[in-house]
Amino acid sequence: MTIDRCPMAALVEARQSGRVGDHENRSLESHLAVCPECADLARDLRRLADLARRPVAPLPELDRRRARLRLLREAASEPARPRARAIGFAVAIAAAAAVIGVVRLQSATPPAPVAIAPVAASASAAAIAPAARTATIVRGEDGARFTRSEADGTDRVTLEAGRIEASVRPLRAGERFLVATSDAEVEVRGTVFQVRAEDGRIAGVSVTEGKVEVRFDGRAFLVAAGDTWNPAPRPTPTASAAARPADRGAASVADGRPPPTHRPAGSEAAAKPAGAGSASKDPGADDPASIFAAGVESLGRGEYEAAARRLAEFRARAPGDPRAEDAAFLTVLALDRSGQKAEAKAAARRYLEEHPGGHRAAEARAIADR
Amino acid sequence: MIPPREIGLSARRPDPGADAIGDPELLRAIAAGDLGALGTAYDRHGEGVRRFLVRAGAGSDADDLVHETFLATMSAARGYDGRASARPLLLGIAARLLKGRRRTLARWARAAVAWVEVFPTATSRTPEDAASTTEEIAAFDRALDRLPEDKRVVFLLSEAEGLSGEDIAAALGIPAATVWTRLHYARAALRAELAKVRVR
Repeated sequence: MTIDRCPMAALVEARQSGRVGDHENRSLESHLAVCPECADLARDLRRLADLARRPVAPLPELDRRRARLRLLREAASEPARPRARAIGFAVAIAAAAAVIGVVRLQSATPPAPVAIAPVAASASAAAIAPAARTATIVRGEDGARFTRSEADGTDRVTLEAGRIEASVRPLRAGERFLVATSDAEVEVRGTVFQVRAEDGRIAGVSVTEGKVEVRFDGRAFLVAAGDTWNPAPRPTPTASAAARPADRGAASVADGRPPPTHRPAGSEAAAKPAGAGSASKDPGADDPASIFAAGVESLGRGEYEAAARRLAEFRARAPGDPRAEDAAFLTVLALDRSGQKAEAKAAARRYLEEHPGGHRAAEARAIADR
Repeated sequence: MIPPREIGLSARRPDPGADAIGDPELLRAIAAGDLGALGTAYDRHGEGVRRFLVRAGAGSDADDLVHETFLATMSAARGYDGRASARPLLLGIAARLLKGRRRTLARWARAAVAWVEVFPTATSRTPEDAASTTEEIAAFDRALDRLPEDKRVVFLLSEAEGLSGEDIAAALGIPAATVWTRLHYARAALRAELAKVRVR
């Protein structure tokens, strides 16, 4: 071990740790000019710090996202912590509320909020309700139009159009959080989810963390983290207009409309009829949502050429789908990994043209510029 | 299949409002059980915690320890002292978890192997590395690995992570004077190893 004999050596170390003032620093500078021992020490300490700060390769983005998802899933299922108990309790409340909610839909008795707090939100300006201070946050996107009200422990967001994202704090006993459109209700079972609506009617739900329950057409669908749920396509405006919550119920399942699509992230579909244990009918394999899911599955299995084909087909069939951007970028990845480098570059350029401010623009640009 | 979120699909985009939330508010939300806040904290500090663990020799255990660090944060957040950055808290948890994990000989052996893998001196040269000899870097890595755990952690928290003595003391639950003592001995030991290389 090196022994520093100069009494100023301690000050050299203190300076390296940012513990000396301007006056001492100036004094030390003068000393370093005449004391080789302290000059060596200062140089060595800087070198040690440089060596300690050598860059560490960051976790690849894919692995980082997996790690993040694993963390949130485990955190959501931790049984020993009060937070987890709160969520479990909320699920129990929501389960009971689901039955009540379905009854309410069938009896056409809309709730009468005590106080309506109109909230207008645009894509650029996030609207955060007062409850955000207690960690329940509702943000509007895509020109969302919604109102929020609280009555009898129920925090209700009525969505007219656009998309909202809700980040919901753990609910206490007797509390509920739900998003309602004219034809459906989405009740919280977890923490973060998004709901889209068009003309006051539900257009889709995707769940980032936790679980939500969607009650639609007299049935309930449990949508877990990573899943998306979309209502069935409406064949005609006339039929659509006729479908009021009060008119539906058990009969709506047999009205000839295709069932809603529910795309779980995992291998098992979670959709089930309310109050019954049987699984819902699988959607057709050739609808855009199925094609998208098949493309993602192919990518996950390493079948890159098949993934590229399916994702391209999805984009062609559903160019306006919110997942079109994801499909475009995943097509780039699939082509790249399948060894079709030129095609991947071209696809990356297309992605950048179509989504110049896209979430994956930086990665696409890296591929396009190779 | 790989769930859509795991390959970066639409479920999670950067939240423009997330950066505006300070660490104290974030930790209060985590303490209240807000998983969204936990995700934001992970996005903000996960890589930094991992970097510290890799440097501290966690090797192949680093990613598991990051995971455990953030899970432990859910309970630790309740006692957060409100300081502006959560880094001292998170790094302190990571350091304690690393210490606990290293208590078995098998872990030590794995970490030692991983250390060599993480810092393959012949292949991961950076501009900084290029300016010095491979021998010096190797000597530093060996010396750092041989340092007692408590001194190595203090050295890295100070020199690599840039934490103040007060923050390190709070993170590790030790007196500030102990921080300076450990730092002094760590520096001296590392410096002595570098001196041996230069003499050759």
